[in-house]
Amino acid sequence: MIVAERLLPPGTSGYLLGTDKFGRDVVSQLMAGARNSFYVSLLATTVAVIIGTVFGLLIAGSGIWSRNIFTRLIDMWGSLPGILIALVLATSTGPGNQAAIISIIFWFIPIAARTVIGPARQILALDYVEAAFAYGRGKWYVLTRHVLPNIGPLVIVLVTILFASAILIEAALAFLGVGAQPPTASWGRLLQESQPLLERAPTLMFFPGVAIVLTVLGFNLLGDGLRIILDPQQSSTSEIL
Amino acid sequence: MMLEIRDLKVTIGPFTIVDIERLTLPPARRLGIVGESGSGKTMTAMSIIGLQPNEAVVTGSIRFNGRELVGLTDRDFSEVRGPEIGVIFQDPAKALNPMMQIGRQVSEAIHLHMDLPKRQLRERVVDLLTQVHLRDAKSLLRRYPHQLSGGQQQRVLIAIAIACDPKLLIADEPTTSLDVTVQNGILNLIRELSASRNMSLLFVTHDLGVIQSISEMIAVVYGGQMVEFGPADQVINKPFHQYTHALISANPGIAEDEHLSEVVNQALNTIRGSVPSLDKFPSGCRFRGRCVAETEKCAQSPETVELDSHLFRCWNPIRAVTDTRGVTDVTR
Amino acid sequence: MSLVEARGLHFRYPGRRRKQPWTLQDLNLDIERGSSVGVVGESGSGKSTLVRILCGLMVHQRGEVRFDGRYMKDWLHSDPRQIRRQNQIVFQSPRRSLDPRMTIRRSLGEPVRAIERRIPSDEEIAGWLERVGLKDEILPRYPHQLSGGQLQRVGVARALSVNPDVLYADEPTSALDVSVQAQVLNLLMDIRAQLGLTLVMISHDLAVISRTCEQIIVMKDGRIIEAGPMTEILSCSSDPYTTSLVQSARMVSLKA
Repeated sequence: MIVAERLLPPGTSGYLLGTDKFGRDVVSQLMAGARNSFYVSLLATTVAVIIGTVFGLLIAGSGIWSRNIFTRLIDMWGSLPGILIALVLATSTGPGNQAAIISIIFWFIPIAARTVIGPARQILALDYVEAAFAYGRGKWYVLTRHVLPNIGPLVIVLVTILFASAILIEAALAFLGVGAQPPTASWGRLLQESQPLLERAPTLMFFPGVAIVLTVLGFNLLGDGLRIILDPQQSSTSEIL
Repeated sequence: MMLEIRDLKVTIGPFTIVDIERLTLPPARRLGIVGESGSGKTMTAMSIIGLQPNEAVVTGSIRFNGRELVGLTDRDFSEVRGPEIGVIFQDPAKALNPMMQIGRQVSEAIHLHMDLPKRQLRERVVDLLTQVHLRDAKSLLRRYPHQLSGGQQQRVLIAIAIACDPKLLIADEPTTSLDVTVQNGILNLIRELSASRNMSLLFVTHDLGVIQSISEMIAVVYGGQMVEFGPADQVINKPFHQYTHALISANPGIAEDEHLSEVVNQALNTIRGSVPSLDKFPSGCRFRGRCVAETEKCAQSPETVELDSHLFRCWNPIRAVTDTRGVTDVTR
Repeated sequence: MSLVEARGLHFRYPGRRRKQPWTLQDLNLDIERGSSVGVVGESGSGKSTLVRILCGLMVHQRGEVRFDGRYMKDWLHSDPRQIRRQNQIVFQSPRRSLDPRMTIRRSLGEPVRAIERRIPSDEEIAGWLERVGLKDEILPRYPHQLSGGQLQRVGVARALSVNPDVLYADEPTSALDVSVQAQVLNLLMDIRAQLGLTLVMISHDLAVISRTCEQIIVMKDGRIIEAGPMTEILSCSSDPYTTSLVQSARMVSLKA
């Protein structure tokens, strides 16, 4: 910590966006925070979507009674408030990236499952799936080789959108103090630390906020674009002849 | 003439979807247009009422009751559709608003064109529903489409189509999605309405049996072109065009009781190949490559031959042509 | 002993309220080896459901179904691949019954892969194509590149690839152009003659059934109204429903 270099404004030579209360370069903090955010979000989203998709496929492929029961269970799971879970986890196992990752995974699995069930059921009702059963394919084969490739685009879009949410959640958890702990950088914590200094150094809040907004916006738009490109190919129910 | 079509061409991009030289429909008469997929029959019907897709370019003349329809704006067409020309489509379930009561859907169709006080409107709706032989019309007013059977739904659509007393009814495959026991009822109804209301009928379908049942005149289309046109029983029993003949022989009906056992397991007559996609139609006669009587001349687009209101376009018709002098010309 | 037998067959789609009416009620039928049977009835009569139960794709709740003397439930429990091999289906819409992401070659080989657990050889595939009158140039193509008639032939070839005993055809020509229907029907009749196949065809078109099937089963509201030789039932049935069905069908069928 270099006391002389505390709270330097943006534009100071050598410190493009200024320094924080400990004299640390804001740009470096943002970069380190980015790395952390991406690490947590990517890991959590990927794991959650994989598990959620598997659950979704299994539920879509089950008989009506199990399907009803499991869909209700997934719905109940999905109605548990994510932030609360995170707080509980942080209190019991200790705060940090791990708690953030686990809570995001827990939060996202039912979302992924629910997104997958509907389209999977639609595809299972298609003629060529019935034909596959007729010539001897088992349920698991049909789910992985016929259903999954056809909902692939949907899953990809889901990943991008959930990823954007995960960034936001990770920042929120860090802001609340249950996410990344010092010295691990996080945009959320930068936001939190900048709060008491709002009058003296307002730019400290601005930059992490902008970083979050741009990233979330960017990935949401990516997801939208992907959906537009990939959607027309997907489960068309229109008669061709 | 209620409807007179001359040199009608409908193109989308480089493809000619419809190419009809001449087609006429007198008042109160029933014309059936029969063709397979890609024949342009639906596009023909749609272009008469201006419902062709935006990309389609329509040229030529369609005169309805003396009025030229080609080139009319959408606004002009909205005055024609309903009071002048009624339309019914294939799938009744899709044509009805599932969230709106039957009574309201019918009365809206009337209200669009006629300003009637509420009571009269309601009476007219009940009257229409009765005319299409729907029993207990009053109780139907409050029902929703899904509470009706396919046949009933189609009758409601017919009621909507004739609500403003049009002079022409266009029906595009109205019985295709219905069970055979219901089909007859609908066909009978349409025939009856045409007679009692002095309403011309233009019926489009791929089903030869249905076309025979409902039409007084038949137009056969293939690859967008009208290849034969004439009185129904002549086209069915004494066709000229090779395609008409091939289509009829490939589509046997139910044999008479005495012959049932003879025809089981007998190979059916087929037409070589299949209908080409739009970009793969041959030049000259479009039926080239599939015709059993093909000659070199067929590389040129056949001319229309007309005898007594029976037209066809074929260089090698299946039956001999007798010209006006009564001399039979078998070399044609 | 009939090849396929049903006694007191009842079926209801699962998950409904207990007082829901049966989709199929009290069905009794026999299908002899090598026969051609047409199943007719209006929509909602249960024809498709019946076929799926007879070939083992769906399981009935009450009554018995026997294939080649053995109970279907027994087959499904101990020898499911065998029953799949012996019963194949050709579906109504050829375009929808082939996975659009699989090449024709791959689609054709699926039954052999699934049932015999091996990859079919090029010679075998060539043989299947020849049997249905197709050329091997279509093998690397995708379904959207072929016509409806060609695709339906592929569907037939696929079904025959494992040499089934029974071929069920669910409205095999309804989605095809008129000029192509005859081709596919001739194909089915030829193959049946060559291979001694048992053919069970569903059709709403009585004209099609009258030309291709020697036996007929008439269904209404989940019950079998009549079953027997086609010529007898079409010409001199005493059942009022059958007669009205035949009459209606005659009225809209072509008389040339």
